Amino acid sequence: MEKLNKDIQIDRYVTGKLDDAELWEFRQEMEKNPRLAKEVELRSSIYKSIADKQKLNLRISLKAMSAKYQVSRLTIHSWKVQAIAAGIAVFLLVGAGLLTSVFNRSNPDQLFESYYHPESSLLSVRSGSFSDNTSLNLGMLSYDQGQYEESIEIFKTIPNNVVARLYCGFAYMNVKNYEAAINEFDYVVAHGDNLFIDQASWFRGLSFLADNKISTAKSIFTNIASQDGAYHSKATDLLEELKNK
Amino acid sequence: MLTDQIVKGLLENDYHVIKFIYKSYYKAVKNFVTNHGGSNRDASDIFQESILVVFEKLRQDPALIQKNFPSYLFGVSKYLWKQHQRDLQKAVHTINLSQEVQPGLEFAEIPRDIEMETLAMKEKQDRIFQEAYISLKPDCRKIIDLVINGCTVEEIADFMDYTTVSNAYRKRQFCKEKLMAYIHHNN
Repeated sequence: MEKLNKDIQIDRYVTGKLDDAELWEFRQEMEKNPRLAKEVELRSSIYKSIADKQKLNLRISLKAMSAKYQVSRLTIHSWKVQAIAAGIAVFLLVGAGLLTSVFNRSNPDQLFESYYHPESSLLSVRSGSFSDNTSLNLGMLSYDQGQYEESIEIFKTIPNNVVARLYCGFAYMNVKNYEAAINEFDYVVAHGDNLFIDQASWFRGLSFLADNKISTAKSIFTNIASQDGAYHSKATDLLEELKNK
Repeated sequence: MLTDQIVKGLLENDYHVIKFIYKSYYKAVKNFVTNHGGSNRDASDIFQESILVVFEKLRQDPALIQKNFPSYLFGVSKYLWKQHQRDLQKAVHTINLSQEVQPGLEFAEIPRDIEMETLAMKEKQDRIFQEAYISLKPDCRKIIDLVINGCTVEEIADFMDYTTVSNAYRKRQFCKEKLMAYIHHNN
């Protein structure tokens, strides 16, 4: 208990919460005890560093960009491997073509798979002193690394952030929890005052489709197709394929 | 993209600027590091470290790097790689100081002075401390933020909706131990 109290006292010193009398006493103790002084110095550096959200956010963005960049720059050098890969690609393309013509994307699952393209993060979160941005950046980082459960956990700590709710929806879609995804997209659409309404509506429709709620999905896509938004033509095409369902 | 646009974007953590920096300059740094005994992983680490050192310098005085951002970034990368080699006591003479990072790209010669040593040292320290924070679970990060903001255990209990103050004590202690364990392990 004494150790715990000392720990709290160090924190109170580092964060400037000791009153005058306590401060004087603590400084006296530090002069006599170099180990304590060293501990205080270390803790002060740690807290200062963690409190520097501008640098922390940049670090998170760089980590995410580095991961993205390494993935996108992966190349196959060996010509033999390239030849084999090309052969496999041709085989898969022919196979996919045959399957498509045989089944003609006849069920909602296949339609969903052909229209669903997972979103990658924008990472356009401006830095600042708000821990909200740090949480959003960290959520995006986990999302980009495919740690969807972890990203959901982080996004949930900032329930009033529209971008977090949108990406939380994407993360839910990736773990196939469509009901939860719909809840997140509902929030973004109902919020009204943001740039992601088209996107949220489209993915909301896809979530209903994946959840086999065809008539609800149809009515959402009809609404999207009737407007001149970014998903107008995709929704029109999808409705055409859903015509007889 | 102009240097002042890059500087502004870097300070504002602008996605497009960060992407531009990676797209335009990463390859040159990677070539330099891998041609001088480093791995791809080393190159990636040195590149990130260099951007953060440049960022720190820009924060102190944005006017310092107004002339040529890539040249300065390459200079810092080269400096940090040399320092890394020195730390590992590898053969420093294998680094040809006059060699260009990439044909046609100029890179500044950064003198080994106290200012640069301090910036590099600070970045090494910040990296460990901030990575430790990033490694924590969201609830622990929240608690650490509250501790840093000087909240009492009672305030932490209230903020985190813990039923008892002793729960807050335990959780606070647990999170701090996790943070410190990471730091000691990586220091």
